[in-house]
Amino acid sequence: MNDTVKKFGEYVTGQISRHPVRARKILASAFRGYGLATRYGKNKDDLPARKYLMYLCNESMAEPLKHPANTVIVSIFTPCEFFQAMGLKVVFPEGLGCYMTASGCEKVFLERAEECGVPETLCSYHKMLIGMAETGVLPKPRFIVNTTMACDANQLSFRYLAEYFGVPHFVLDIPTGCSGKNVEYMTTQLHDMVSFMEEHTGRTMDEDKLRASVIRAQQTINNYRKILSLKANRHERTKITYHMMDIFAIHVLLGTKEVLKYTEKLIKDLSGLPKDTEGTRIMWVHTMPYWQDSVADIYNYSDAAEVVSCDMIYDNIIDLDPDKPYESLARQILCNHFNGSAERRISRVIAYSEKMNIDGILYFCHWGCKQTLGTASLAKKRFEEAGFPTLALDGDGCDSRNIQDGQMVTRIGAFMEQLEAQK
Amino acid sequence: MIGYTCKYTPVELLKAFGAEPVLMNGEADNFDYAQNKVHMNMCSHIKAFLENVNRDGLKELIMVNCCDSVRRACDVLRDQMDFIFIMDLPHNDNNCARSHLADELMRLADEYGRYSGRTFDKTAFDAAFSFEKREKAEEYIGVMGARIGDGLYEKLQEMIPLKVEDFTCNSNRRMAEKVPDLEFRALMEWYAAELLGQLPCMRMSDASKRRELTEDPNLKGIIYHTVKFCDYYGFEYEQLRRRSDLPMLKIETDFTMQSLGQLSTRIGGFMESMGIGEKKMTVKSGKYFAGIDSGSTTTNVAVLDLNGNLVDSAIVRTGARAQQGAEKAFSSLNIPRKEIALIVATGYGRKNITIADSSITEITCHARGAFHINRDVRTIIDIGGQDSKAISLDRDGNVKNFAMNDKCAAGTGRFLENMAKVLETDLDGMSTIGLDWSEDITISSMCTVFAESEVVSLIADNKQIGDIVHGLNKSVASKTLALVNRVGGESRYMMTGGGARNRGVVQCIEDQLGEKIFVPEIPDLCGAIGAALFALDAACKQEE
Repeated sequence: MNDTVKKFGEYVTGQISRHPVRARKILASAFRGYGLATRYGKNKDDLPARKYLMYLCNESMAEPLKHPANTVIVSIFTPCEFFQAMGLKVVFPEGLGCYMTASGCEKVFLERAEECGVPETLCSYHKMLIGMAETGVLPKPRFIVNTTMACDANQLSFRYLAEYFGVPHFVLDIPTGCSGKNVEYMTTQLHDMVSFMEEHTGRTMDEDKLRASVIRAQQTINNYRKILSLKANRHERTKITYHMMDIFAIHVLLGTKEVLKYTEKLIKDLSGLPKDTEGTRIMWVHTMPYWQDSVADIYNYSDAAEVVSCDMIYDNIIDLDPDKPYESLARQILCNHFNGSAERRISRVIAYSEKMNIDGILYFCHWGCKQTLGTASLAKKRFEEAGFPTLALDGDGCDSRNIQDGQMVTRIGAFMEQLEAQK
Repeated sequence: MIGYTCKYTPVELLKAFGAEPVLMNGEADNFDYAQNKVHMNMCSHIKAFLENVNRDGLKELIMVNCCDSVRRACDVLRDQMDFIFIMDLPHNDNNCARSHLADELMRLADEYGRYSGRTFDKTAFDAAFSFEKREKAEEYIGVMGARIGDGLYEKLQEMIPLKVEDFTCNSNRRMAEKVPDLEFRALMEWYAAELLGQLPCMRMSDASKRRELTEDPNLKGIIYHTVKFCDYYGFEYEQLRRRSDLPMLKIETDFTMQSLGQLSTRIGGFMESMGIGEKKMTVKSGKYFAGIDSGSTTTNVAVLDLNGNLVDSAIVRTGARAQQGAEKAFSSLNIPRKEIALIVATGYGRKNITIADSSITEITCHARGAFHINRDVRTIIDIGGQDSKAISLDRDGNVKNFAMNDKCAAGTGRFLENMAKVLETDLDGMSTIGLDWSEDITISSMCTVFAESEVVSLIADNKQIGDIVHGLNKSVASKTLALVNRVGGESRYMMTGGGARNRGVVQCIEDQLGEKIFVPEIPDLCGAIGAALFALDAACKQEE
């Protein structure tokens, strides 16, 4: 973390206890300012598409902080095309968590959540969201919608926040597996969710807008297929931050005009890159501590080592039918590789690693995520059986208190040396 | 034998197929096997479950996808089981959810029927619906929260003089006693509704019915249990703490029996604070009354006269055995043993002091001692060698609430002792070095082991020792403040225990509290004085 960010974080932290609303405004303005500066700045290290991605992600973080009455708190796997069609913005734990840490002011939120009795072992992204609410920095949303998929914390933090803010709360109960009956079960729930949204906004779902959003989502999914295919034999000198932003784009921002435009630009930019790939190519599994200098220094803008993709970028690549938005969005959730047995996720990672000429897999054990921690050994075994050396790395996606910087660098360094020697 | 671990498991259906379902709820001796299978930061219950499945050579399991840890346990066990089934339990309880669960029950019936070669027996199904009747109108202590290991539950029943009722997540299983006559699909629809209609666990979307658990007038207190690395119940505990007036004790375990010593102190303190199970002491001849606080680092003795004045005291190193430390402490007193009418022991080693006439937990004794020393005190912060605790008092000096550190040493004297070794100083040095600092360093790691390597890195970075110690003091202060917040600490604050001698730590806690802390002249003696006061009380009562 550079000194400017550190000082900024200290300043915002200082504001939070006495002036949380001011702190919120400062954060929103900083996100917006940095997004604009990146988009229009002269930085030549990043592809223009990536700079646009930074801009649109920063806008998506700033907007809910500025206009909370039009904002819904959601979990990352919630199908957000419905909210777009109804003119609502969304905010989600992984996004805010990353942004707070990258802004150098995460500790005050995490500590506040723990003071309020939130278990230390809870996923740090969710802990951060609670801490932001309890400090008054996260404003009261219109309502809260979450799925039960993949993460126990969903069942805790969103209920906590709904009670804390006194706002309506809707839970999408995600069954395991993609059977016809499960699709029906999910489809009914999505209809119920729309009724809930209509009741609490006084607006009516415009089915044409929903259809348009699903069309854009499908176009974006097709574009991501092309992007992943281009990345299979190209080297992009980039920073891992953009992979995390891709995760936001393919989930909560999927279906927006901006993300569609971004993917179109990225296809163009990637097509212009040379085909040679000499460096060691890594597939990252799970979220990324992109703010952590020690990890970023290894991969950012490196020709020797590249994180090519992340499994959270392709978990949601499942075709949609704009003529059946409810049913196809239901199927998309159910077929996500986070839903169901670990084998689904493992086999998908192997399939993409094979397609993308990957040399090794980095399996990131994010603190508190039992979903990922629980299969670290199994996944490592399966990946290695499939020919991909694997490093299971302990860390935290947004809480610097839970990381062992020195040890992480040593482990990644040794892993990269191992992969280079095997090439 | 088919193992299971969740109260939503359809055990009645399995019995209808002639199976023998067994609830897997034992503690583990260690996690050697489990840690090869899953990450060490997984839910401790699931690690114990994996250990026990392996130890018992279980080959049949029925699981419910109640949490991430269970799902992942299922993944890692799949290859070694003859039969393993994970039932998809909805989070909601509505028509769609019941229908979905009925589908799952049909799927189980089909798969288990094919596996076992047996068919559904309606008579056996009906017979399986018999539940133990709960006796009403008897006062009890409720154990709530996450499942509690069989061994610990047995110990609780031994330690608590009242009836103990288990309301933890895998207990309190209750459904209709009469089964309707329906064709199989309709019967499964009915059964699904019964399973989902139970008092919900915290994993369910609507947990509001759980309020019923705390509304029984016979419930006299709650022991609230959480499992390390299971996050569900910490949330409910916090809600209860805020809204319920019932006496409540929070304990956390890792599904081993290793923390039983500290747990017995907490449970003893909890019972004492409720006035349950008080024992009468027999007073011998003598005009002095002694309290002995047997801690992990030092053994402290306070001797009072009939007027409650401190007339003698001793502080010695405990050494390897509590009894030897006690004898050493008494032999260094000026007042001979024969003149002491009654000895009350407290502290970690209190049960092992054979020369004591009685024992009372350090929670109660610290509260008594602190209030005797300063009647304005409402919150005691005690940082001892092994434990750190916060105790809140009411205006009469009674314990209102208390919290202790869990197994982790962060925030205790042991933490500072370890760091002193790394920094090549001693505890006296640690007390003052951190007062003189220039760079505000934050030690971010909460774990003692991680913090140690962070300190090593700071030394390697040529950071000033004073700045590092100040960072460590802040870290201890922040851990301590978390305990203070848990008990709803109020002014005035008193610090006791060896930690109170550490000026740097006291100053950091004062900075975070925003007020001065009262530190008694001999802070180590507070617990012993409290114990001696109880001895004096017993003598006064006998005279009456």
